[in-house]
Amino acid sequence: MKRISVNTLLTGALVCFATVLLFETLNLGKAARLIPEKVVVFTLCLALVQFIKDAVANKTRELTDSKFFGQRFHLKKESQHDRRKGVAQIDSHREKEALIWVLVIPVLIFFLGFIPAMFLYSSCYFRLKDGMNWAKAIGISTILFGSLYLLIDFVTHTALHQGKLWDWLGI
Amino acid sequence: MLEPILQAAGEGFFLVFSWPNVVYPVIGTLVAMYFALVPGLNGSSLMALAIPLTLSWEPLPVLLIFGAFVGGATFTGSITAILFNIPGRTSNAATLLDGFPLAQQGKAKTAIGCSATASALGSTFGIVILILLIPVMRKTILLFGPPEFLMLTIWGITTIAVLARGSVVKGLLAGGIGLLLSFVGFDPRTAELRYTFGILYLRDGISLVPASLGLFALAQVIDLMASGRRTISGRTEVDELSGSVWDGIRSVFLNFGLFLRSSVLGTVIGIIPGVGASVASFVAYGQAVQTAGKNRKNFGKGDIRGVIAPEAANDAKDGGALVPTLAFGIPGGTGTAMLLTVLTIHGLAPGREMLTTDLSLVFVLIWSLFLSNWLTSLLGLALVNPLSRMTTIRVSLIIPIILALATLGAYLSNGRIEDVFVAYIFAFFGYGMKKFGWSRIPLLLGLVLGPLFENSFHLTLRLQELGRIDFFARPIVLILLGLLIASFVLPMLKNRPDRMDRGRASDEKD
Repeated sequence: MKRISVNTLLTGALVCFATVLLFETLNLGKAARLIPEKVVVFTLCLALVQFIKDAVANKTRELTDSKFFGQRFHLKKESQHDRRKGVAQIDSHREKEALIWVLVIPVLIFFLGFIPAMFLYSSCYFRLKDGMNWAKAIGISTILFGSLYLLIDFVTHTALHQGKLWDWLGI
Repeated sequence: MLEPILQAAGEGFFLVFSWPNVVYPVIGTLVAMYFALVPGLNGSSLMALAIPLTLSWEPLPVLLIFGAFVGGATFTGSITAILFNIPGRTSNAATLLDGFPLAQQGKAKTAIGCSATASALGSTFGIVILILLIPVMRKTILLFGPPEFLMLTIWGITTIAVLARGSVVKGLLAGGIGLLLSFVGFDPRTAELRYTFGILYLRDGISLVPASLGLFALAQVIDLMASGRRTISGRTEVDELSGSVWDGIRSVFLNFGLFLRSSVLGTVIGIIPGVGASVASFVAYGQAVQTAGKNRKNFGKGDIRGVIAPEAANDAKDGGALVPTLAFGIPGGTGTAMLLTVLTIHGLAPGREMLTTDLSLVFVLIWSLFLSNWLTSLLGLALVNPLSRMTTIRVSLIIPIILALATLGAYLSNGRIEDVFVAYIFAFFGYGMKKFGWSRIPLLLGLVLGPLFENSFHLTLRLQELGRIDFFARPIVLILLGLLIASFVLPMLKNRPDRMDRGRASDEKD
């Protein structure tokens, strides 16, 4: 099965993005599109060049990883390859975990509001990633975000986002 | 000619060192020092976090604190480099080559004393050069019109794209995307909506604050989380330090020629947009080895000259980097790109106004930078034992706090939840760029300089149509065009090696 590198996918996404912007630009009036037209065409050309470069690099990697070359290389460097593969898997897992931990924040804030969301998030983070017990995690989070809430309320007088869940529940 | 400059310098001095204004750079320095200790966090992340918190401030305290951020992060990164072989910032990587061996030989305090002295004196050198160049910058900026500003924005974005991390194509592509994102919203001339896709939020355009927070602060935190580092230093305990601080201080004066050469190199490299601090520190280290003659065999094994050169260059480049930033609005690197963002948000336009009517504010920035550099070195020396113990704090304790501050900052900029989503979209995009070898600076620069680029382009076209100017007959335009071509051609002629490693440092320069 052919593998497409993430790099190539990213550049492909940029090509699509620039193409969409080009169509949007063509729908603008003459004065409004005067400068953006030039920039979007330039950007699209660069995106295509980069996409071709990444696709060629991907194809070259596929060929060098083919059975003939790969097998010869694999026999020589087997133990190093396995060790590197193990490390890469751990790094990949850690990275996915980090991305999920970060992705959760805006979702929580949207539904619960800023202070409750960050309080819940930090309590869980201290417990699950730092290994604190629940009492300590909740205690530290309470102090941190209680202080932050008071600071925001007294200093900036800003109303923070309240959370859609409370609206739906009528609270 | 010098009288207004001296007057502005005096006004700036009293503004910075008077009570209670002096509190701002002191606090800014202390915060920047702590951020610099954490590998993965840097002055740019700190500035991105601080922008929304200082939105309602007057320009004076903003300049006081951000000047301290620019200068305060440079020395403390060398402490972790010397003590633990971990550079606090990538620009401190050259320091560990000889700094860590010195620590292993029981001369940690000597190395830190040397680093502190070279940093403080190097930054002073860079600032002196900056002040000497102000009269030149003032005269030059008055010659700039729309065609010159147009060429300047193009040159600024492309030079950084060419010299920063990753391939030239990737850099230019990032710059192009930044420019396109700056066009989102109402067209300034016709009020026609561009690239909003029917989304109400996008009518006001992409706000700089959440974009910069996401690209730099949040992306760095994701990187820190993914690195798996448990503590800042990787250790849970540290020992008491040994060596003599005075030996370290004395060594800088005993090698004063080396210090001067390194400071000159750092200042010159700082002036060139897009060339990172790590380039300055490694070039200075290289010249230290080359000029050592027969005495070069100790380099890499604990030669004190291997600490003097990179640290002097590292700090001298701060003054140099402010030259293009303040004169032309073209940042020298990531830190000055963030500074430019701050100045733009607070309505302080670099260039003509800053160098004429607002010159005292320029000196506020300069004196704040001077104070923070010296304060960092003195405090770093005094607090070196406690600072080294702080590096055993668990990273998992810091991360939720930084995420909360960044998220809050994105929300506070305009009071809209959509800004938080924008910040996180930029965070994932910024992390992806960092991971796959793309520079984020051209993208931010495109966003910041987009309006200036578009206005200058329109004015230039209009003036050309009316026959009021001849674009290619203007000397500064031709000089900038020559520089633009040179920035593409010279690297090809030198057959530059893979820029991933150098560029990784360049992207994190601050």
